[in-house]
Amino acid sequence: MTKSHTARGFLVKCALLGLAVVLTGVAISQYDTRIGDDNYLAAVLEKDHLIRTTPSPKIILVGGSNLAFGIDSRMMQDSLGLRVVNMGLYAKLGLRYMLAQVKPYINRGDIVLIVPEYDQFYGNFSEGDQTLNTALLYAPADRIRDFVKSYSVIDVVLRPRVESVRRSFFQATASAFGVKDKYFPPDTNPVYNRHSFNQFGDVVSHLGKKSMNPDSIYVKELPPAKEFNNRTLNELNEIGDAARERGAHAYFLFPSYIDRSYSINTSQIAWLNDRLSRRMNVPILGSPADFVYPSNWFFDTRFHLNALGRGPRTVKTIDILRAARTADRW
Amino acid sequence: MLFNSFTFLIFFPVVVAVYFAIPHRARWAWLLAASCYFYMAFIPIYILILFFLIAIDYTAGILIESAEGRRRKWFLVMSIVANVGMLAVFKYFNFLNANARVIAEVFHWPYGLPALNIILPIGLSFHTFQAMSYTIEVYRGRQKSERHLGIYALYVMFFPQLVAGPIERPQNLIHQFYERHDFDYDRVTAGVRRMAWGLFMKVVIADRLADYVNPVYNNPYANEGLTLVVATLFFAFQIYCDFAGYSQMAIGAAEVMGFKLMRNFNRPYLSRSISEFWSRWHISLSSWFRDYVYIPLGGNRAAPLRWYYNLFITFLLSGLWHGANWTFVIWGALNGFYLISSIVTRGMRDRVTAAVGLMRYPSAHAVLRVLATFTLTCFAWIFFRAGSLHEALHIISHMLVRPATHQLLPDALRAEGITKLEVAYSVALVVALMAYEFVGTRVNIAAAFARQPAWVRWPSYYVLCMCIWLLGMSTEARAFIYFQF
Repeated sequence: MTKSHTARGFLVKCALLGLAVVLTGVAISQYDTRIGDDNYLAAVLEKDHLIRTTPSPKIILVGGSNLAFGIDSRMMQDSLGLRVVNMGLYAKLGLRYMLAQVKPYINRGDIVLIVPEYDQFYGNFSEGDQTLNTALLYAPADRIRDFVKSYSVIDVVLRPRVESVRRSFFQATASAFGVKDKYFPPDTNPVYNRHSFNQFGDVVSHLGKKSMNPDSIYVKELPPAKEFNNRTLNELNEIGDAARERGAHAYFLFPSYIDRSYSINTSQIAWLNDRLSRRMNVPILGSPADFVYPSNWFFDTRFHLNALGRGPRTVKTIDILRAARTADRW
Repeated sequence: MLFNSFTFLIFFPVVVAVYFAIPHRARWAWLLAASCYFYMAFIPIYILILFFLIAIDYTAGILIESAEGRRRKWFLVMSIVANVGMLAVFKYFNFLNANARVIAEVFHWPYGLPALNIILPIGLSFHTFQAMSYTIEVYRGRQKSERHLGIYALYVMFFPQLVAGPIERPQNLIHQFYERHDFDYDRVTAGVRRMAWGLFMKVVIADRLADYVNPVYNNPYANEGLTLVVATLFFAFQIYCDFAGYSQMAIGAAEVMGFKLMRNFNRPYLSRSISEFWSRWHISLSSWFRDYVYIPLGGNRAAPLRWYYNLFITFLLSGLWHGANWTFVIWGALNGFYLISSIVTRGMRDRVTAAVGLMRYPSAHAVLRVLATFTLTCFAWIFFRAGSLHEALHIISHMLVRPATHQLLPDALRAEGITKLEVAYSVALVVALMAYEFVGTRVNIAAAFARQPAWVRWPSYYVLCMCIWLLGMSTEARAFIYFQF
């Protein structure tokens, strides 16, 4: 057996191989695609700042883009006399991330309004997709510990960086071949960018713009009941417990939803409502049908309200919260 | 724990390092502990099911060996009832219950048995079949009963093949746990190479194809024509790369530690007939059904009708093994039908081949046979992948009746972020894979590579690692398709 064909030799070679791979990754990551980024997801930084600096008591809106596009926080603040922080950004970040993001900042007197999109209860949707890695990369360094509590070091530290190297590689390659603008066009989307939000965290960039043809808005069936993710329920119950322990109130509302999608998912949504009513410790305010609106009130997806829908949805939410305030005496 | 997860990237080197560092007498205990940890990473409580079956089958093995006459058979039946019973409760109860309810409704009978709200224990079909092969082999006198409970438990729970096979035989595996496996550089590097290739198949090819297949098959009514055709073709390669990739990783992981597991795939899509396909696809399961179902039924040593019956029943059960759904039953039945048809029409096909002169062009004939076999296999995959029979029939009807509606990327797929470039890339990967497999029929690529000097091999490993990292679909470990069985 030659010297290099021993276990020690094998380990040394593996270590060198690993080092070469890691160093290549580090080199690629120097082409940092986040520098000067106006990406929509980069708004996690502003949202994070908002929830840290807004004093309690406050209303914290937790959910995906249905909240970002479909709530007028100023109207809510003026009507209810409580500061509003709209944390809604993007459903595919996963409910787990959204809850982990707000959990440390729930204080006495706060109202936590959880309004996830329907899809977030199925399969791995509540865990977040690859966009979660991007959001975690943007997260301020001192928030990493909060997220590690909900996920793991691998999920929060390692995975996003490994993913980021992959993205950097493709962008650098495209750049080397002079086709970067073709395959990675600059983030000039007038609606979906970091600067689309007002001081409360609401997207306002879509308000003056023409909505998509209502018939072209994509609708789809919800997954079957067997794909319901019980972990989502556990996480909701944990946030309910945390709110109670800290003297806050947590409520659950159904999201704004286009009528065409509701009509093909009525039975699934009824099942979901029943499931949540029986197993979730966060009180449900209103019903799914309360937030079903005609197609022409939607901007571009089955969850995103336009200027026509945003007002009535906010009014409905305020009315429901007023009733809850009377019932729960806050 | 998934082989393609970061956790396994830490778990496996630790297990291997300790395995080689500790004395031989303690290794079985270490591997058993590691296997328990590996399994408990899914749903910890379900390990009790494994322990229960291990206790039953271990006892049954000893009793079968020591008993005589009809009692031996009773102990075998006890073992089989325990294993099949566990499958019946966890895997088939809701299926049978739902069908019984439908029948009761048709005849207006009262029926109130509720569905069970339980999750199928991961790999249940694999380890129960492996356990049954043990008691059957003991009963047949081909394997001595294992007296060491720890070794027997390890035979059932050995982590590389615990949750998705290969479904091993006691004659092949148990004695290996007694043998001392020292660090062997060539064997370890060969095992790691195999694992890396398996990981490449999974994360670079299978997961990429899944991004096209899943949105289409999860919402088949929104798609038609070319979209359905491409999704079905992609699924054929997705499931191959997913499962063969898993098997490669399992075999490689065992090989690193000195264990030799049976081959599970042998270039199945280059098969020239359905029977050849089934001798190359999921070999450990096919041979299980051959040895424990088909041959005991009488195999091909029977009158033609009985032979066809034996084949059909074997494939029907094989379909049912994959899942408690009529789609899997139809998939199995379809494959049985293919096989019977190929036997019945063999003479006629030979005459047609001779009449059109194809015999004179053996290569062209072989290519046509491979394409025909692949087409039939893809057709059967529709039932395997579809969520229901209705969906499968919709896919078939809209795939064939309206092929003129060419839309490779309908809005739903664009909404998922799939581009033409990615589809082209997927096609290129599939073509490259098939080219690699074709070359593999002529050259032993692994052996040829192992003979290369270090300055060729190690840079190649570096390239493979970077490919897995940079071209892999996601750092999010996606479950292997066969885990659900």
